Amino acid sequence: MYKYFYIVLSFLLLSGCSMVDRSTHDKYNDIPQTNIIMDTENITGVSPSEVFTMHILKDGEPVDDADITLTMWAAKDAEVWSEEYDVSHEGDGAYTAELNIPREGLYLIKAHVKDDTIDALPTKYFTVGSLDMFEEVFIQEFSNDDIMQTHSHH
Amino acid sequence: MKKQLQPLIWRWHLFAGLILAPFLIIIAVTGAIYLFRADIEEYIYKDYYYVEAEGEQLPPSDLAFTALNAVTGGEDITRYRPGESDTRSVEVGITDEDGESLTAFVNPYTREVLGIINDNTRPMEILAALHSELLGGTFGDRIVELVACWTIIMLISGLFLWFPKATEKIKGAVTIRFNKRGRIRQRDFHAVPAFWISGGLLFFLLSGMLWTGFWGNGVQQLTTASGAGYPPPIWVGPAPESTTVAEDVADVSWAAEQMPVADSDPSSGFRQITIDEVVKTAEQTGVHPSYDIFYPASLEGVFTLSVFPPKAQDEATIHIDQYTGSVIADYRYDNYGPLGKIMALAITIHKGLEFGLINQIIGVIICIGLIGMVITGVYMWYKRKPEGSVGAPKAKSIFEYKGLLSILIGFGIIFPLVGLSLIILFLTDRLIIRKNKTLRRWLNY
Repeated sequence: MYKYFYIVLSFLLLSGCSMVDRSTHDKYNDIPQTNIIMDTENITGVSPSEVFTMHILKDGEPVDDADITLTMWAAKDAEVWSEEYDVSHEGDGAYTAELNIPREGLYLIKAHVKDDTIDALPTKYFTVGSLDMFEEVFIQEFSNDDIMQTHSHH
Repeated sequence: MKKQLQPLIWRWHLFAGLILAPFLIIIAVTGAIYLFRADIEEYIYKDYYYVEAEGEQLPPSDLAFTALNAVTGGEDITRYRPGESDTRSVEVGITDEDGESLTAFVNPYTREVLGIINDNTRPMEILAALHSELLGGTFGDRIVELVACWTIIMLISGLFLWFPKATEKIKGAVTIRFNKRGRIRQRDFHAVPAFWISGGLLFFLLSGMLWTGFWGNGVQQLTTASGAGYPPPIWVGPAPESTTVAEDVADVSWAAEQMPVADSDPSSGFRQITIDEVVKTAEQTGVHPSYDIFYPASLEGVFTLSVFPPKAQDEATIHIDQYTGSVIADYRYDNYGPLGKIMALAITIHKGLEFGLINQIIGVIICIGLIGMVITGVYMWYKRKPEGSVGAPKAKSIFEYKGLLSILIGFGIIFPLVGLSLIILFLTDRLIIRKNKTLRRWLNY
């Protein structure tokens, strides 16, 4: 009888040695995975109608009923100037807006994306033409912000 | 069978008890104090904790920045705690250039820094380290685990010795016979209270072992992997990452030109959201307001909103994408597996939090009971032992007791550190004690 007892115990012990694998998350969490793509590649120069495109995917499927508000501002004038844009829905999870780019420089664009399960606020920065000294410093700071947080919290 | 077993079990109970005694005293005393951690910290830090509510609170980013600047050599902000009420100060966790972890308390209305403390020198942190690892790091943690395991063996062997041999002797089992003197009364003072607290003590031992680095970790991994315990990122396993949520279709050419460092992540151009937005998201999740927000630990990391309030049912761990601010994982008590729920409750009860004052009082009774068991046990041995010998029943070979041996081996498998200690004991016995005449005589071989 004891022989079986040991076998069961050994099995329990050994199975405890296996590492937790990532798929265990699924057992606890069914929040859909959202992909938000902010495409600033077509913004190439100073003009009142530069095309900005966004793609929204939920678990790989296009999202066509998202409520999106765009806010854009120049990095140097963050306190005093910003513009809000509505987006037009292009179908297949794509949305576009025409942005007014008044001059060369560093800009930030923030999208508030909402639907029944998504509530996201991504902010992206992009440049048009060349940057002045201040904007170079800003860019440096933006990237430093990210690199700064390197300490584990657990 | 039982008659034969009694002396052997007594012998084990005695030796194990004598070795465990000093450790159990430390663990019980520190544990009893730690049950009142929240009350003690409320008192010690009352000038840092409370502020007067006057008007609007300043934005979290402003307060975090103020705190960072207030710390000499402050490098990173690691944690932000908004405070659960209008009159509670904001806590900002900061690491300085030496890697020390500090907490700055800031008045959210006036931006006044109320105080800065080093987390490692908090009296309650030191007490916790003494309770859980005897201030000895990993080695100390293993010792505490071993002590807890062996205390379970002590409990079982003690209950065996306590068990009344005849029904008429029930009086000395559940009540102390004050009318008796000498050995009987000494024995009653040790065994009767021990019986009464044994259930509670066993609970504290087992729940406490969930924190241990070896057995506790194993149990966590086992229950987590099976989905029956805690969700993985709370204790074990990797947290979700930010990378897949906000991404770019194409490389942005300017970045490569403008950035002096070729780093693919900053080139995506996404900025980390501000702490103001994280706090806003946190408020929408409806978690208990005593939450902490931990900053991402890496470019792919996430903001982690973590709340472990007194009641296990209010626990939550929520991961927020650092680039989009969206919730990517939300683990609450209701999401835990059945074992996870039991573990979570066991932990809050162990800490004296779940049921408030009653919980603390029961905890203290068990701690005092344990101290009493140790003192009466050692006293009883000291009074009874003959000169020049340890006074234990005569040694017998364990191999004559197959049943007991099986139980010990079983224990050694469930609690591997016990197994290891049994092997060490066996080798010490064979290689040292048996070869030394004085030791043999003293230990009654």
